Amino acid sequence: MSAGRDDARRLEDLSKVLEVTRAMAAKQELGELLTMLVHSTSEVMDAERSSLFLVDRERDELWSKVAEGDGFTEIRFPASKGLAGHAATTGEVVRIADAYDDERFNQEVDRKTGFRTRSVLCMPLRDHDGQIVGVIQALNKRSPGGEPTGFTDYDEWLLGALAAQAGVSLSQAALLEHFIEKRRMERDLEVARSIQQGLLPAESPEVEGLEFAWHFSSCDETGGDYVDFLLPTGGAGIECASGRHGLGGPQKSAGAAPLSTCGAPMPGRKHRPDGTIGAVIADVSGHGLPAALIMSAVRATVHALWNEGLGPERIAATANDLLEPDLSPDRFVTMFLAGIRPGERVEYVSAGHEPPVLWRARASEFESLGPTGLVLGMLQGSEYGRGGADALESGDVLVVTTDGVFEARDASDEMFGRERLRECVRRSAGMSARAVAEEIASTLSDFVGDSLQGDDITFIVVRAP
Amino acid sequence: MAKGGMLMVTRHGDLGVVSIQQKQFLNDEVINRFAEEAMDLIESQGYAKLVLDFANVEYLSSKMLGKLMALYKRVQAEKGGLALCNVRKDLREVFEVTQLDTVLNLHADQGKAIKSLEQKKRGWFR
Repeated sequence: MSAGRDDARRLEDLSKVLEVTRAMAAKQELGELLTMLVHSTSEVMDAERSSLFLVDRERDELWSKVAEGDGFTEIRFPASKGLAGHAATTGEVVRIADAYDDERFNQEVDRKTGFRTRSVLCMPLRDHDGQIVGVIQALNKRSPGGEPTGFTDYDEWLLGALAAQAGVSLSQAALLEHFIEKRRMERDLEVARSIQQGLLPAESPEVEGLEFAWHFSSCDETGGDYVDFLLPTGGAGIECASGRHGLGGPQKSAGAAPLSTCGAPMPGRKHRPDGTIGAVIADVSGHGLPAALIMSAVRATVHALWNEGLGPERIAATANDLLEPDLSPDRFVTMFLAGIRPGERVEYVSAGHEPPVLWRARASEFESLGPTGLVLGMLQGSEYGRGGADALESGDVLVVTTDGVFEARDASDEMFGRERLRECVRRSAGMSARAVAEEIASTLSDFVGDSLQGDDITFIVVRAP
Repeated sequence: MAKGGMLMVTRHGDLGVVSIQQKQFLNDEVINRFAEEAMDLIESQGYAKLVLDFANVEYLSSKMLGKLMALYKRVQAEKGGLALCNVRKDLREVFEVTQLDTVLNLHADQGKAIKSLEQKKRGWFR
């Protein structure tokens, strides 16, 4: 071929490559991009057929999306298999006249499709960092007359030009697809989080003779802790102070900002309850979305049983039997539920829950409210006892926590522990319930520092002013 | 000797005495591995009764308790038995608070634990 005709041919072929490059920019969906590239490659290279594969490093496989019907189907095979595998792993160009003469060639696809592979030109695709992201293959070169022939140096140069563009486009499209999927999952978690936030107490009860405050902070977007105030059933005209406000200061945790509010009564209308107020804390084993889903079921169950007027130990026993069939064998829920009325004995059930701390101001000492039954959800038919403590007197403070409080760790991996919590309560017992809650939260926050929060942190404070 | 690194098992018929080699059961991966190895003893290696020796264990989280209970339920389903021994004092507290010590038998030493299981005929027990 003369030099002039060489140049003309190069120009024509490079124009085709440019056209393909433009077409690639218009397509962002990976399946469509792969389909378009495969057709274009065959056209540009005068090949009977072409194929394109992407590298999946996690699974050590090569894969592609192949158009089928209205959608796409995915095909995968080990990254080291066949000529494509060789190009992907070594970065070498493979050019052979007859595939069946090469022992690396994987004959399986031909057998499945009835195609007879002869000449092969196969090379790696690289992203803009030079990393191999896939393989492009042109099969069965056709001469101008249409007969089968082999791939030449020129063909190698041309496919190289196309591969350079394709590599970058494909890696971007793959990244985009991954990013879109990740965003979708993040949006779903955001929704789950706002649903869970809606399940937290809207307000702390405001009652003469008692102060309430609470804190909830999950280490993931959603958590397995549950905190609630159950208002007296029956009776009319119960008006609660409404609104909730933040504790102030960022909560440190992995990922998105956790749910974290310290409910305290807003100045507003007071109400006189005509019954007992329930304070409940529960802790589903584990954390994250699975625990949050179970927490939601626990909440609904406890609410329903409270509204039936059942005593705390009956609530625990019934909740246990209802939850047990639905929980996996290794899941359980600890729960502390107390019925509190000003000036009256505190009655509670503790289903394997971390003993709350009860500070008695007059005696200047702590009382412990021990477990009265097994954790919930473990064994069908578990029985629960009713525990009790003398009525809260002026200055007495009850703090109920989940074990995330004690197990919070600082940078040197030391645990916060029970003694620090007691110290906090002792120090702040003369202040309002809200002030006690803030003292605990800020002491915890200072202790943990920049370390990641490993578990949900939840507590309730009840105080007799 | 059981495969995997965490459990060293001595066989006495269908009773396995399992010496746990791991010190801390705080992270999910370690806890899940324990659960897999222990379940494997019941499901693939023909043990119906297990004595779990906690002498080496310094820390365990509530998730680990969940796995022990799952193992207990599995063993129950096989009409076998599960007993724990040599649980350190500060770890016993976790079992006591959750009241799981009323279900999972905690014994002072291997001998007592083995005896408690051998005394039970293979059948249901509470």
